[in-house]
Amino acid sequence: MKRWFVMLAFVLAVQGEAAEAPLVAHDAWVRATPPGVDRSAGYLVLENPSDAPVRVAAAHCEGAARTMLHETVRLPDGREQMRHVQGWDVPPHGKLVLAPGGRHLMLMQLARPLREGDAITCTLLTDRGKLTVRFAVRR
Amino acid sequence: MEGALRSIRAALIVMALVAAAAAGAGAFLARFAVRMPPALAELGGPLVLETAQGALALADLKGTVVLLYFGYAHCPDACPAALQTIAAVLDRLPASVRAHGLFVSVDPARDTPRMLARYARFYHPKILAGTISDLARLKQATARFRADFHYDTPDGKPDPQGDYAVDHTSFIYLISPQGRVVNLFDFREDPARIADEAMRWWVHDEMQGGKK
Repeated sequence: MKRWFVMLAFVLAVQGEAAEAPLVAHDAWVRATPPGVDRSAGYLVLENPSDAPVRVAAAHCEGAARTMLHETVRLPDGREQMRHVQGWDVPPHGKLVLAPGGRHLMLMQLARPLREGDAITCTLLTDRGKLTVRFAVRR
Repeated sequence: MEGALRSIRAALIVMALVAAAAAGAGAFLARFAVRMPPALAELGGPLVLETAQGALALADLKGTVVLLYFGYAHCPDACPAALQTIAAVLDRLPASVRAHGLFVSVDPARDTPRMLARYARFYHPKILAGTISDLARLKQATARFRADFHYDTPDGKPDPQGDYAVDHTSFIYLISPQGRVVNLFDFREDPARIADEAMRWWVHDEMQGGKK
């Protein structure tokens, strides 16, 4: 059992090192954290210039114990619910938009507050490699 | 004969000018016309919050435009977006318009009045914040605004040490200087539109002498 984990970790590591996801990221930003709050949300636009879809399956952001893929959705009764999602597809020659009030990266248990003007690095893991993106901290 | 023609022409010019002025005034007044969606007639009611400065009632803010929002501080997406929208509205309003934001936490287990004061000030100095620590009274108060919330915990109960999300309605309530809920906006709304509407209600209530 343990050997399987080691092998899996090795395969993932090799893949991660080797492949760079065929995506172009822009307008990447995370919200500055207000006093007393150790979580934030990250937004960006991902463009896929390739001929095949790219699936974003996970993310990791510097300073956050956990980063989750979330969506804020309106329920029929009017409540807004944050949902954990398994992944997002960036269509070929299309784009995926993460913006306030919808899809976002949720950064949890931040070690330090995020201050306006700073920047952090997040790594997006996809089925076609990983992508490292700088996120500007904005209000 | 010529004198009569001249006076007719003068009269016509005067009439045209009067009509133009009336049309202009009409257009000017239309800019300040207000209309409350009828569905909001029953919305709102007493709201008394625990804040870092002591008890604060919504009624204490009469004479000012209030942008009210129900949320929670650990909310990473919707609430900061709403507070940024409210801050942008406050910044757009002329200095002569008295206005406040009011953030009501629906998560009193984790959001204390002191922490909320610092939290709200981070977004704008004119945003006040408070909560109602008794859950039954909080439910009662929020129900008057048809605001709804639900804790995403295994037993649906809040937890001071917990790490959970709260599903909640996420509207910005526009409250006129006379203290009535006069409009409701999605938190994704353009601040310019909310500011225009706030301005119209300010002018309307001022004209009606609802200043204080």
